Amino acid sequence: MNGEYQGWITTLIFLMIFLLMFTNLGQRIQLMFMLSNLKSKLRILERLSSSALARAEKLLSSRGSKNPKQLLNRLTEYFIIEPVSIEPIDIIKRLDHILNIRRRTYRGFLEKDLTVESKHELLNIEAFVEVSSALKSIYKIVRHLILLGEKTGNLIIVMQLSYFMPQILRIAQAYYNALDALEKGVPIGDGVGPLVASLLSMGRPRKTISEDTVMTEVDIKGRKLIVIKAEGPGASVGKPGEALEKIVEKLGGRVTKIITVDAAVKYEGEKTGEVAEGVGAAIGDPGPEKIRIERVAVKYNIPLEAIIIKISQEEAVQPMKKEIVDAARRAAEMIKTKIVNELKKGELAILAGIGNTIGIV
Amino acid sequence: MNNLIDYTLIFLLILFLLLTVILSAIRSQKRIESKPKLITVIKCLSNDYEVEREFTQGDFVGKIEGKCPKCGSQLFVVAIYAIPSKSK
Repeated sequence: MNGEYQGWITTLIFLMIFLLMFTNLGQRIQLMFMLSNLKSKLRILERLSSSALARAEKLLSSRGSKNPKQLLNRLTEYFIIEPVSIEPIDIIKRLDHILNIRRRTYRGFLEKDLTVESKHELLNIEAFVEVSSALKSIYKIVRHLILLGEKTGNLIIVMQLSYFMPQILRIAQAYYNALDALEKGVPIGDGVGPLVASLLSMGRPRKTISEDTVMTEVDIKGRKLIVIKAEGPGASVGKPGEALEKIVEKLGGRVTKIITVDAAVKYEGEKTGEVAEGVGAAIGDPGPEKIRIERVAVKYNIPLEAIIIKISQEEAVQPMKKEIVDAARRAAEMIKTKIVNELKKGELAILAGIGNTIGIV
Repeated sequence: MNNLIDYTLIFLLILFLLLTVILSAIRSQKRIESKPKLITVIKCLSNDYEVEREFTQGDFVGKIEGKCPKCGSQLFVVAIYAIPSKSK
């Protein structure tokens, strides 16, 4: 009996080895396990997305929306089509035009339907809906890839998605956690640029220079610093490129230095809040704002310097950490020293604090 | 004797598989939601007074928070930051 039993097991093992080596059974088993794992992760994404949408719906309803579900659906399904890129002439203008229309239309939908106390409240609601929309998109894209992989038995799609899934989940969770900050109007990690600008210009009168963008003139030991940032405290990135271009043109290019300060994604292993210097325009917009800064700097041959504060992708959308606040203070001091050391008395520099200014005036 | 070893091995294998499945299910269900404690930093523009308190709705960086008890200058909210505390 015992020998017969062992014989069966040996035959079975050989059969399994044969099937796994000479057929695609191994791949199919692998695909099955990966899909099962991905589906369990998809449930997490679905939960995050539907919870975010439910909160957004509740928020819209509390601000007087008559049909919040319909409004939310309209906003979360709203899309933009990128301009033609095989003909690059005027692509920046065309992209800028499309982005402007998108922003105005999106905001217009909310303005028409909601009753809010201030523009800043509206901007925070807009950001809340955009984050909910991003979560919905993440869920839909992941679901699409899983279903496609399952339908076509494409191990490459499933495998790639499987390896990227931990990162996708981290980003989705960070976005979800950002909702609290947006609801309360608390500064987020990406706001470190505007925070530096705010620390340098605090208590001084401001002037609106472009849409959602303000400027302040600061005197630093006889040197003049013009500080540009998004208005705040509502969630907005403003139009720092347009504002900077306007100021430089108005001054006829008589600017000794342009400095941009922004948050930058750190490498794994780097510490949050490290401050680094470099050249170029530190701004992560789709293009129109950055190119304005670069073009005006080149036109008048103005040195273009950048200061970045390193944070992780998740920290960028979550309430600002103490390390980031400390880094902003260090960066503000660094800029003051730079202005005193590198500019002569009477000279002028422009500083643009780039990022989302929620909770920061 | 041999049978006992076989059964023990089969039992351990099943136990291992079950534990793997249960643990992976628990992991997938677990969602760590960070509920940070928010702190508002208030400072005098003359740099001679700084105080921290818990964030209250309506606080924002740049908000005027009265007068400095030391020099009478204006007090401003200069930072709002989060102290992470994890809860399930």
